[in-house]
Amino acid sequence: MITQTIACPQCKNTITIQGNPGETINVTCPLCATKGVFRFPDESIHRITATTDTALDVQDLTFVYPKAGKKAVKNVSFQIKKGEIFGFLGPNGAGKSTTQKVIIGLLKGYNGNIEMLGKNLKNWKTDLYEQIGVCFEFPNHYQKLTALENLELFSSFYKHTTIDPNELLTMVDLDKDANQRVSSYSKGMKTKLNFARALLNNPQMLFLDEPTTGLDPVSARQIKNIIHEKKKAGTTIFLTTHNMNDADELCDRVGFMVDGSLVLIESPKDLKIKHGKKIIRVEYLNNGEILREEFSLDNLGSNPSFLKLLNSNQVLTIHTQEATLDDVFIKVTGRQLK
Amino acid sequence: MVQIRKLLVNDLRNIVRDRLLLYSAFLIPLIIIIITRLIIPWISENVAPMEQFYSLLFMFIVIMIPLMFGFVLGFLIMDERDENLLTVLRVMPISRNTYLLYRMMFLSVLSLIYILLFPILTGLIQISFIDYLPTALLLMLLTPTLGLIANIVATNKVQAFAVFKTLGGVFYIPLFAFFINNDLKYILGIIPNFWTFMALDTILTKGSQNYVYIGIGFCLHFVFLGILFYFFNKKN
Repeated sequence: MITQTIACPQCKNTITIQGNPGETINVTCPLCATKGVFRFPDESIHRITATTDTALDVQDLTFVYPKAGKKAVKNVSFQIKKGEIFGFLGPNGAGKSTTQKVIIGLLKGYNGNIEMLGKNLKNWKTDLYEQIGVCFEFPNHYQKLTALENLELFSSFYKHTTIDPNELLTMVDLDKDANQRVSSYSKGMKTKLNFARALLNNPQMLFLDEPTTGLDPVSARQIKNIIHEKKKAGTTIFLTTHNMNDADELCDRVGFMVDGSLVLIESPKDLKIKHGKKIIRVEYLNNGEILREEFSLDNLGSNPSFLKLLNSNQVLTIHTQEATLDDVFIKVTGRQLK
Repeated sequence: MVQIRKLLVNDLRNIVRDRLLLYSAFLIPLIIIIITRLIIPWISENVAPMEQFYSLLFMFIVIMIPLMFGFVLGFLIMDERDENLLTVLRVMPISRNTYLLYRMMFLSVLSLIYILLFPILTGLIQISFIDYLPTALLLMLLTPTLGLIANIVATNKVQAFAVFKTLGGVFYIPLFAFFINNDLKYILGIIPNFWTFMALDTILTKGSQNYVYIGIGFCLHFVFLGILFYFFNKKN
């Protein structure tokens, strides 16, 4: 079933209609009673493409868990451009996961407005999940099925052509274990399988929750490389993480969430420069002793002390002192990431 | 169609690869049938005549089949719940309710096949297929009822076992109606399968179908299932 929003040619009223691919239906405008005929596109060309450059537009999002009665998300607003990797950072209980659950349609009853891929979230039905991929933090698979059987099963839920499960398993280096039951997998392997499942439908938008948690450095690198490749291919990525190194490396922009509020959105690079010290620290060897000295970046090339040090000592290291994302987070929010 | 086939294969794999579910879905119903076929007539011939109780015995034994499949259904759903697969299903382009309905239908149909074959395979009672079909369908509805109750009440598999045991007992209570000779027996009508037993008894003793019992039975089962589905979705 396809849900589509069309405009009445007479009064421009927006009408939401439902039908099957290729089906022709009669439409009557509820406002001006203008009658017309609408044919739903064939399945092969049904994939909806957002009409603007914005993949996700969240405005004044507020969410209250009915039993808690306390706002878990408070007036959160942000936009993500198509092809952008947006990092959502914050300590436990900050409201990151709640925000993501609202955006992907798992939590209803929110206040505010969410436009996803050119359409209001409330107008999306299950067809939304043809367009997006979700990778949850904790692995969730059919334990008694093999990795390949798991992917084949989930693949069968999609109407559109999906990526070959074998290809995905090769991509995450699980091809040799494709026919092993998931119950025999390590946590890292399950995490990789989770990630592979999110890519099955080659989504326009990918939601990743801690995608590298529990992975060894090689596997984590592999996943980050795939994320980079997906970005290059135009996929929009919403990354929720505690891992500041991942966020720094992957994200075009990051948002800091604290106590349900989004307190800052900026690119990691700008943040590090803005909040860092404009100095360099030089470590050098002097009479067998390692010494350190700091110099301002301003007019560094003509700083006589710096030039003298370079000429008369054996320099071991030179580092600029830009802040880390961790430092910025603590400075801006007054909170430590846990 | 491809989707249904995949789901069927998935469910069969999940059952076949779990010894407990495999035995419950295939071996135990077969053992029940064999015992009923061989042991009961032997006891009747060699120990004590039991022919007059055959209809009661039939009801007592046949109900084990939907309860057994209800157990399998309950455990399959519980597995999915424990693995957070019910949440994953919510971000798939299929309706989770449709998926759960399919799952309930699949095991209910398996249960129905056994229930329908039961009189023929055991030879305990003689009943025409047409007369038996409505009551067989009512019996089948105990499968989703039990599966859903277990998933609503129990938070883990140990609790689920206790629930299955308790409910197994509850669904046998309506049999006491046959030992009550006045209208007080209708108090037991709050348990949905009371009406199944009443309808079955009417066919076996009077040779005619009581559509009132059948109608009330279907209504009560569907009301129960609707309520259970609501609470299941609320909990998950």
